[in-house]
Amino acid sequence: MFRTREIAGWGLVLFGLYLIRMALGFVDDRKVVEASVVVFAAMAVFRGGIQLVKVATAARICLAAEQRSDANR
Amino acid sequence: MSNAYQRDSPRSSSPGADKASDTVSATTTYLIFVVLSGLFVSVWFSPNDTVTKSLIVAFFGMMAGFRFWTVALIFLMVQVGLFLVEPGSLGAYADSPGSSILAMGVLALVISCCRYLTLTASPVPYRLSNRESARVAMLHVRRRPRSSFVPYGILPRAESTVGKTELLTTLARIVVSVVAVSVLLVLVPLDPAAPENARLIPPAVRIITLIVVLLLIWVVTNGLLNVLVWRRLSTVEARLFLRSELSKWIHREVSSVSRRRIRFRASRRS
Repeated sequence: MFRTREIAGWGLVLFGLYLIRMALGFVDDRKVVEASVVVFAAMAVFRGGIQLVKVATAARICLAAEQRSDANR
Repeated sequence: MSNAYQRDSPRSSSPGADKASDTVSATTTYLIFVVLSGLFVSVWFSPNDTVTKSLIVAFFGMMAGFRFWTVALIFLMVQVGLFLVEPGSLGAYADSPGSSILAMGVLALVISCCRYLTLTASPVPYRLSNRESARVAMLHVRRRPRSSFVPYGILPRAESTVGKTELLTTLARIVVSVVAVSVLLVLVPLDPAAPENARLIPPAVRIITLIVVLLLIWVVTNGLLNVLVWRRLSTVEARLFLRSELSKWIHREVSSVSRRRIRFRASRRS
């Protein structure tokens, strides 16, 4: 379950990178306003993806520890 | 000058406060900075004319006179250099070494000076009026001992703050970084049309390219290391992170519930 979230997180990170690439394309065409809007969106998506990956990893570690302690009991 | 400082400083005059054998006095460190800065400026600004020669002499004098404003002086000199590198005077710089190496030199000097100032700065923050600043500047020029700065609120700090090995390792780091950057610059091809397209002088294009390459290396390395470190979280750390994260997610709901409770209690009391 947490693996799915982690994959989703990495997907969001990649999507954020794609958006940054798009913003660079806008900058190449001298469309600064459009680029700034896309950069803001890219930052939100990128940060969200990183956050999702971090939470999923931490949750997986906690779950593994719980399962280990249950098995010891 | 170094001996005068050590003789007059309150720390060295007190019994039992002898200088540790494995340290170098701050004044010696500062002298090394001055010499290095002087060499650097002499190499960068090839002294072909009287103006540049006078600038170098003035810079040397100011560096030797004002201890606390080293970084500002270096930046000032860099600004003067940038001003001189206008298209009209580019010919004077035809034989100068690569700008990237010089940029690294400036950075290394600034970093070293910042570290030196942090180590030897007054432990208590102080604020001086303009008149007092001028008096303190005069004390610097006259190379007065640190004890004479005390009336202005600038408390003396230990003179021996930089270890001998630290100086050596700093020099080694600077050499290694400069060599690494030079190799990197040779390996990375520059776009020959970039100076015309971006309307920049070639040294600026070179420095920007270098910054982009170094930034990419740093971002990739940092990202990989962060991922690796995050996967080695201990159970306690993971639990703590999850709790704080979940509490952040429900923070608005919890705070609104608390506000309503407080309002309800207040209305019942009234």
